[in-house]
Amino acid sequence: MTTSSAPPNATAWQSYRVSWVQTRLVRPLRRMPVTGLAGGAILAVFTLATIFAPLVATHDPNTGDTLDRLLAPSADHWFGTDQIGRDIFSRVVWGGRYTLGASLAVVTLSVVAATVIAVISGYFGGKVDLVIQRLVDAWIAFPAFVLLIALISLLGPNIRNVIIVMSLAMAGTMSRVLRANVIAVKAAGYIETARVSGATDLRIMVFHVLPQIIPLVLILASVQLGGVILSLAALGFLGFGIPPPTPEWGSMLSGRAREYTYSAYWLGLFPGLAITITVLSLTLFFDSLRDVLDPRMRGAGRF
Amino acid sequence: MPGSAVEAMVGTQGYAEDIEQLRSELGLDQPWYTQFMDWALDLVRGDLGESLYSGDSISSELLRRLPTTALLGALILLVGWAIGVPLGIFAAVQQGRVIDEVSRTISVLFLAIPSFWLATMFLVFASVWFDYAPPLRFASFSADPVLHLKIMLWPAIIGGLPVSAAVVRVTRTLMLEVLRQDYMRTARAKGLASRVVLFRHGLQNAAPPLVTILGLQVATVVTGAVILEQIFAIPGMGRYTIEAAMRRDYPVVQAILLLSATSLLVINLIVDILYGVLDPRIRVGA
Repeated sequence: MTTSSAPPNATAWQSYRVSWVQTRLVRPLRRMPVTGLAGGAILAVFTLATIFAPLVATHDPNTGDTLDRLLAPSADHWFGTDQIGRDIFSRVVWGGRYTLGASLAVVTLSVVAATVIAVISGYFGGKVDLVIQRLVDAWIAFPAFVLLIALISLLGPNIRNVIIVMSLAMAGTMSRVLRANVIAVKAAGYIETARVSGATDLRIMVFHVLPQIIPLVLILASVQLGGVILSLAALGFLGFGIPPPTPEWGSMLSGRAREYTYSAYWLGLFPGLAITITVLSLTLFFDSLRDVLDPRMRGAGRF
Repeated sequence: MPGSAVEAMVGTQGYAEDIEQLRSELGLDQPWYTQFMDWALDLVRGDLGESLYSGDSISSELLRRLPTTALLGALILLVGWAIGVPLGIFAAVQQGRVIDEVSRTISVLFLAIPSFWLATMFLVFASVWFDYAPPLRFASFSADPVLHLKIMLWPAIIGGLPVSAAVVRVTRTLMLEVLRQDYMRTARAKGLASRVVLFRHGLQNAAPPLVTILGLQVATVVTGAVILEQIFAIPGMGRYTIEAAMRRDYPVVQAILLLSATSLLVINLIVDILYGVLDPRIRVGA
């Protein structure tokens, strides 16, 4: 059926390429439920709006006319203006850069750190594993959010510190999950074969163990992203996140803005809606993506 | 946020001598390892030290605030589980029907809403639409139990919603697993009422894994308490954490970290013990 869509003079190789697109891209998308597709579409729109923020935003996010303070949503200011006259729509659009960008950075960093720890600890086992795992024990004994607040107050709240501290706080628990997987992979026959044929530990870890745990790493990353966005926003709200005047979604609701929200609801409503819709779409999209790509889940209930 | 506890007290305009004097009074001019040893030695004697900011004893402050936060946390869990478990069972029984779809969508939504935003919007629109305002005066449980519970009501509900969302999902999955078992069919076949089958044979077998989730949720509840105490002006541990961190009051922050890590460990221990109580097979194995 795929050969029919290829040009008449197509070689076998070309028709193979078409069928790859079909099996890997088109068919999974067709199988995806409506909620997953809707989530994906919203995510795509938000991502584009974030990337093209300078074109999408209608006003400068950081300067406002105090004469225009606390204006209700209107044709000129779609989401209204804040207590110093800044356009909230533009701040929400620009805020996506900081909230989504920082969250992606946190997930990437923590996943990389967790993978390195898990592979080293799980692969070598024995004393190395024992020492690393006791350190991880101490690390994950603290409630993450309280630890985040303590460490950020110690280092000072700025984008770099927030990203580093959040990545470290998350890497501990994730490395636990991955380590169990590494130990399972290590028992496979091909690891022994590789060792017998003279491969070094580093080579086995990078070329034989790592590829096996990559799917789980990606799943973990997709599960964590929503939670990271929520934590980052909560930190911003409490004053321990990306500091103002940066238009981060959480910090747009903190401090003075929160006091004004009680009389001008639009100050708080829209940044919070942006967070909710983003996290909701992420969950719906990645949940159905996992179901579609994982053959074991096919036909089973989606919980 | 000021750069140090001393700066938080003197302000950035303070005289250099004042700052130096204050630093040595508080022992902040000592090297960090000396400060840490002093702290650790006091800790062994059961002394958590004094707040840099107010000079008050940290342990007495913690004791005063702990019951408030413990009650708030317990109420959050109560709300979450009281909504989550019945809804989860119901969704499992009605798998694939409307109630199942609705409960799944709602639980995904509640996990996506930031609780700080939900709480703020609740206060904004409750005052506009229903003329509701949280009580202005705070009362401890011993002083005025009714007012205390009134203050706790809405934070507990708002904090409980995401907890219930997670509980619904897990309960549903576990119940679906249990419903498929042969003993469920046997129980129904021998003519037991469906209520008895569902709760005695069904829920009892789904309970042990469910309790594990309880242990994992403690961290979620701590986060919720920090945020909700801040918004609803409840003088508990969470608010103390934020105040202390803002003022760079490290002895207080250290004490809170120590206490929260300890309570997390204790609660996980209780969960492990409960697991044995609920599932006799594990007791024998241990």
